[in-house]
Amino acid sequence: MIARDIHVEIGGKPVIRGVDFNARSGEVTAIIGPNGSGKSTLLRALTGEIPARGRMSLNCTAIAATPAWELAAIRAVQAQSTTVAFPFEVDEIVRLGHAAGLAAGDPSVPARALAEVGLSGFGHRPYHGLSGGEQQRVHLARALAQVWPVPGRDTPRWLFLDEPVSSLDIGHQLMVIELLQRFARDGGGVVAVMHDLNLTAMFADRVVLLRDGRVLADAPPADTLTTSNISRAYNCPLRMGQAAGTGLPALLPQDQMRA
Amino acid sequence: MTMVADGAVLPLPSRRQRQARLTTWGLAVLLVVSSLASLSMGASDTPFWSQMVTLVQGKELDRVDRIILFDVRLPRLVTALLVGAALAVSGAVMQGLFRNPLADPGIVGVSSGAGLGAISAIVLGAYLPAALLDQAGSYLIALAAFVGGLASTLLLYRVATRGGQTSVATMLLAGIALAALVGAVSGILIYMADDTQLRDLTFWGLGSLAGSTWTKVVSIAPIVVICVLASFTLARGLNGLALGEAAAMHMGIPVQRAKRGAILCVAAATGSAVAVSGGIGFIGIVVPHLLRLACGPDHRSLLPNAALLGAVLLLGADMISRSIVAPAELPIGIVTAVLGAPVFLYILLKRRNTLGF
Repeated sequence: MIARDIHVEIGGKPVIRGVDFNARSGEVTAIIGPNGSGKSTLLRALTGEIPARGRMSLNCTAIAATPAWELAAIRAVQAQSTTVAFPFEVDEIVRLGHAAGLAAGDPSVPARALAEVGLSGFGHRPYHGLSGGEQQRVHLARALAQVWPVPGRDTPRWLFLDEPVSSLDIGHQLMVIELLQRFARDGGGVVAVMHDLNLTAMFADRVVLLRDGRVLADAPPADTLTTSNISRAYNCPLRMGQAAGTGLPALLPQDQMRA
Repeated sequence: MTMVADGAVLPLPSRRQRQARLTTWGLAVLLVVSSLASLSMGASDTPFWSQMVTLVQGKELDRVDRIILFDVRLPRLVTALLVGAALAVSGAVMQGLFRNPLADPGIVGVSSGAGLGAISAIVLGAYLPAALLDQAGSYLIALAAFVGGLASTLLLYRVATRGGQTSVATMLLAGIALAALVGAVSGILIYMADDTQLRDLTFWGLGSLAGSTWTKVVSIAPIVVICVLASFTLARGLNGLALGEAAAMHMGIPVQRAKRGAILCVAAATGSAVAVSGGIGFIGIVVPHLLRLACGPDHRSLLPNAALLGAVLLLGADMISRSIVAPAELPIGIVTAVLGAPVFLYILLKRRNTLGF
């Protein structure tokens, strides 16, 4: 995924001002930044959901020139929140995504995608009866079913996710993170807007830090998530530490107490 | 669920898919039965079954029986089936387009718009050359109703939808405004109308199948059939739109084309129904609602079943309207309103908390 010099204006106000963005398949790329820094807007521009100036290509084809159904076969998108209009069952929602992908011929995929997100046996439950976290995982399963691997077709498949773990409890956050890492290790590409810096440090291969619609840092977690970068981006004095055992960058609220 | 060797789970056809298939068969049988019942109903000297026996034996009916059966009851039956299917399908498609089970051409003013088109054609048509009017009268009314329906659907969509999200409140309020506007213009036209036209116009307000003729059937049959069949191709798009426009786009659905198709379908189906039967309400809201309860909201089964149930329901309502005050006839719009308005109120009550007024 390559994007060059992306500009987005919303209501005449520039929100993204000249962002270059790269993401490789086989890697998890996280987009972080303070509220209003343009994370979600950048993701929506990268998926072609909102009009943006600049050049964007996915798997070496220009996104603007590719019809929706062709993109849908190699790329699935999960929005920050999705409202479902009618009383669908979980399984019916997952199959909507499944039908758009290359694995549409394999009827076992929806149930397997639900198993991946820990919702085995939820297929015939009414979607509107689920909790917020369960609903979020239904949409992740829908995205997974859409880009489910097909033997013999090894074009990179992509997941674009806007805060995929925001409504999940810690156990399911870790489950989803491991799932996405596995997806990347199998050759897929993951681009995720993230809110939680510690989770980002744990699972991203590359972290893009945004501030006011510009890229402040774009590097592996250890180089992006530094005390100076984070303090500048979030506009308050913050101190990055290290997680015991792993040595990953970590930010504990307790460490930030101002004496 | 069946476990297979590699641990994958093979899904059986879901409960809802089986129910949808059963419903389709059940409705098809019901359609045939109620059609025969409708043909047999009414005053006639020869019993219906002996008429049928005569026909099956290849003999001619006597003249009066033939006229009653083929020129009165049969066109009325076909009109009821076409109008019922058109109203139910346009309701289901409109609800999919607006992502809202309360959207119905009758309630949000599309039928009024189509009615205004028809009224204009009736009143202003008088200024056309008589020869042309004789030839193209019913087509002109159908076309004018379509144009009126299309204009009001487009206007409504513009007003009520923003960034792919529809506000129910705005939609219903816009419908009220539209109906008021249409009422005012209709008032002007009615003021201009002569006595014969006035009788025609009264008929629009109440909704009736009493004036059904083969000419009218022919003027709408192709449009209704095309709309119903075309709506089936919209099913996948409408399923996707249930998750919002952006999600539908990311699932490979050509959103703009689906929306345009849905708007055209709603306008054409509503326009044809209004052109021959006036303002028959609530079929478009009751039918999809019942079907969603019975076999789920998947438009691939909802739309065909809606066409069938709409036809059956309107035929039933027509039989009630013909029999309840016999030998006089109650306008069918009254029957559908009595049956449908409570259902609308019930949905409103159930969704009150999520409407966001």
